Amino acid sequence: MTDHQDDIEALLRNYRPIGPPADLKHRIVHRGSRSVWPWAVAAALLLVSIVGVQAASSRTIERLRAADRDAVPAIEDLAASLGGDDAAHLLAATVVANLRADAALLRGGTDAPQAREGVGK
Amino acid sequence: MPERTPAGDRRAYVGGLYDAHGATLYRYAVMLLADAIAAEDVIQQVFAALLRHDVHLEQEAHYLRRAVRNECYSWLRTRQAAASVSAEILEVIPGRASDPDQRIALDRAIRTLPAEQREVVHLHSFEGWTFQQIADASDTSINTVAARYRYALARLRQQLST
Repeated sequence: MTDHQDDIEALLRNYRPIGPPADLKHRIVHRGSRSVWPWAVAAALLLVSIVGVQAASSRTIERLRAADRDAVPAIEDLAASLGGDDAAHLLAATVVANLRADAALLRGGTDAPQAREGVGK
Repeated sequence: MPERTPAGDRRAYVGGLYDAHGATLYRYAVMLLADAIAAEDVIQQVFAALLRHDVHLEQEAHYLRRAVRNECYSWLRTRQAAASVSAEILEVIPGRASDPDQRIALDRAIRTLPAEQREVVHLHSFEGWTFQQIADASDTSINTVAARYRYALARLRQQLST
């Protein structure tokens, strides 16, 4: 061991690597419990959103069907080809209503709906 | 099938391990990685794995040291390019001579060392291990450990003199 090494070793003896942050233990030990509740809240919010969208979709489909009973077979056919679920029914009802409105406008007839239907209206 | 330890008991067990070894292992990881943020990640991973796997360690100090060492070298292999250099890695030992400029210079000089040399400096200078103990823990020869230490001090001296 040289004198130079002794100098550096003497210098090193005044210092040490920094210690852990005070909350590191808490973050480690409570990691599992802390990570559960945000997922539960997110799942609950997602469930509420899905239920809300489904309710709105059902209302829209019923409104479109009530507005034009003749369109129901076309809507059902299109919905079946799109998968047959609520989202398919909503999309099919909207598409058929818009197609019928466009056709009525081209014919120049007075039976055209007041406005084109949009998804979620 | 063995019964799992209740979560509360596992937390108490891992909390006890952290109390006994956490600070020492964190300082070791800081020195090995030259990165305090990465050291936090490594320590969290090691202790969180104990929480998940419901194990009780026989030679806990040896196991934890080995686990932290493996995680550190794994981190160095995969994420060295992203290493943070902003946070300081050294602090003055309470009651010892304090010179902020000297601490900053030594901090920077230590960062220039290869990880293997930082590890030897840490275990020998900061934790008081013998070269033989370091050789046993790192699966290398005592001559290699002594050489790493010698090279490390030479490089530190060179860095501090410029």
